[in-house]
Amino acid sequence: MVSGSKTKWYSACAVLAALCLLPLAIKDDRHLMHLLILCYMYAVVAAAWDLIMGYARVLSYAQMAFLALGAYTTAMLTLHLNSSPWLGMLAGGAVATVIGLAIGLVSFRLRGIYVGMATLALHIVLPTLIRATRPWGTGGSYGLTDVPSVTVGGYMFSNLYLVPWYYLALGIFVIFISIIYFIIRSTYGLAFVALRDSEAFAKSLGIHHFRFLLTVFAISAFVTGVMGAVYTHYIGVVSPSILGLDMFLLIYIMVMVGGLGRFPGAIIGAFVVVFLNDSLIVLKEFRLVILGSLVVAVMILLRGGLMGIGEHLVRLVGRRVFRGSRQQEH
Amino acid sequence: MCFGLLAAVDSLDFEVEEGEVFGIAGPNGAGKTTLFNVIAGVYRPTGAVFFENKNITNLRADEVCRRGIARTFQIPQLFHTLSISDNVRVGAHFGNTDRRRVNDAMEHALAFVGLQGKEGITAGSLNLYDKKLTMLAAAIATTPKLMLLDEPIGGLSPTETRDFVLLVEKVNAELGMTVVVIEHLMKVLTRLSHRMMILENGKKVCVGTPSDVTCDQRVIDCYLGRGNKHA
Repeated sequence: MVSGSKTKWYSACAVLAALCLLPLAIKDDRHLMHLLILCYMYAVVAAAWDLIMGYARVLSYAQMAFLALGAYTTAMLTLHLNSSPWLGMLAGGAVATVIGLAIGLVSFRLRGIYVGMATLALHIVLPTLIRATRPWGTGGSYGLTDVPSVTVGGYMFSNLYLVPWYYLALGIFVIFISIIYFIIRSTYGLAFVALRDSEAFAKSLGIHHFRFLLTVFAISAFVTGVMGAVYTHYIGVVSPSILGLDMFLLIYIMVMVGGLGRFPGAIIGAFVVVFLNDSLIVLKEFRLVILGSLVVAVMILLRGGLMGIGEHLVRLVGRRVFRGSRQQEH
Repeated sequence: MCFGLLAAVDSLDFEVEEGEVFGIAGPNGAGKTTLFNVIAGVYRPTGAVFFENKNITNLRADEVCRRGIARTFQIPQLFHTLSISDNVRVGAHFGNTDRRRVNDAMEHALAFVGLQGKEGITAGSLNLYDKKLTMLAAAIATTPKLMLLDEPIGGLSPTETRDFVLLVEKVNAELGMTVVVIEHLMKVLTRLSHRMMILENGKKVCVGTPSDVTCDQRVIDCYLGRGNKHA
């Protein structure tokens, strides 16, 4: 157990070191750099979604709504009130959390697919709300452009030189993924497995189901809201298209391809899907067809996603080794 | 307690004394398990449930647990993907208000039921007897004052039954827990119980010492039948 977690710790450090050194190898390839930055951002959103769907087992479709809430909050604060982008990011997380708690309070009285419908309602209502509140500075259908970039001590991050953005995205990625990992490994994780295996037994042993769901939902909403804000400062625009089917499906595919409820599946899924999506761009509209078929294939053939392959291999090798050692005994 | 128009437990009124083993028996569908679900906070009754002179009627299941009432289930409920020790850890961690006692409560419960050395085994792969032991250990790990056992020996072999009955007696005698036990096997129930209650159609037929109850004509008529007159 101890040596296992040590190995995990060392390999995580090695991966992190490699990611830190990556810009040295990439040099001037701005496109590649851009893709990696997107990977970090999407990975956090996908992992936060997986925390809710895969671990807490709540069918939540509010994820993109949290992303949009964070994005719009910071865009409006920085554009209309000249607020600092850093403050805007925190405010974005806070707004997503408050709305998340409100929607959780209402929908967690329901079960299964009904929670899905209640959370999807938030997603569906937002574009209309954004258009209707144009006089309040949401930009309506056109959205908001020229969202200012972030500055650190007078240095302004620019889209021409992406290395600072790379490290900022990596830093936020590391912080948020650590939080998500910590939750999964904590007693929260234990409670979720217990509730999944036998809800009646878990409750009889003192687990307060509702409070656990709400807490984790709020954390997931906060992380997603902040990420939506960071994303907006990076690309400089936000419009209702952030709530479009494209983005929604892309993140959904990341979670499913990586493996639902299999940390770090969603992160791996994000990296795979971002690069796959980019390489399929030549196919134009067929891109989504292929990605869609990929999800169907994964759900039918590979229930555990890419992480499932790993588990399958470990089990297969383990069985071989076990059989081998038994033969030696004889 | 009603399900639609069906009254599963109807104007039932009884008391359990601190420190005793209280047995409950009755025909299938008498409302025994429903009664447990009412006490444990799964169902809201129209009446009231008092524990240590406090009204616990409207508490949730997890709140009832932290007040000091633990339960086991007739059909073994387990966290089948977790190890035995993690099953018990859930009870120790969430059932205790004092978080410093978690490890002690867990170790103690595992040792008490005799599951040491098996801690790492996944609960789903256990036989019925060990499943029941794990479920009991998790309940004990919440350090309750009152233990509700729903048909604890159902499906066990005679030797396993004997061992489990001894264990239930130890729960009462050594851990000082009040025990309420539902059981069909009258031989076991009369041996375990200080007092017993017979239920039929959600109503109390009679309450008393095992010898009183088994000789009661109404109990013989509705539950024991004539063949068991001298049981």
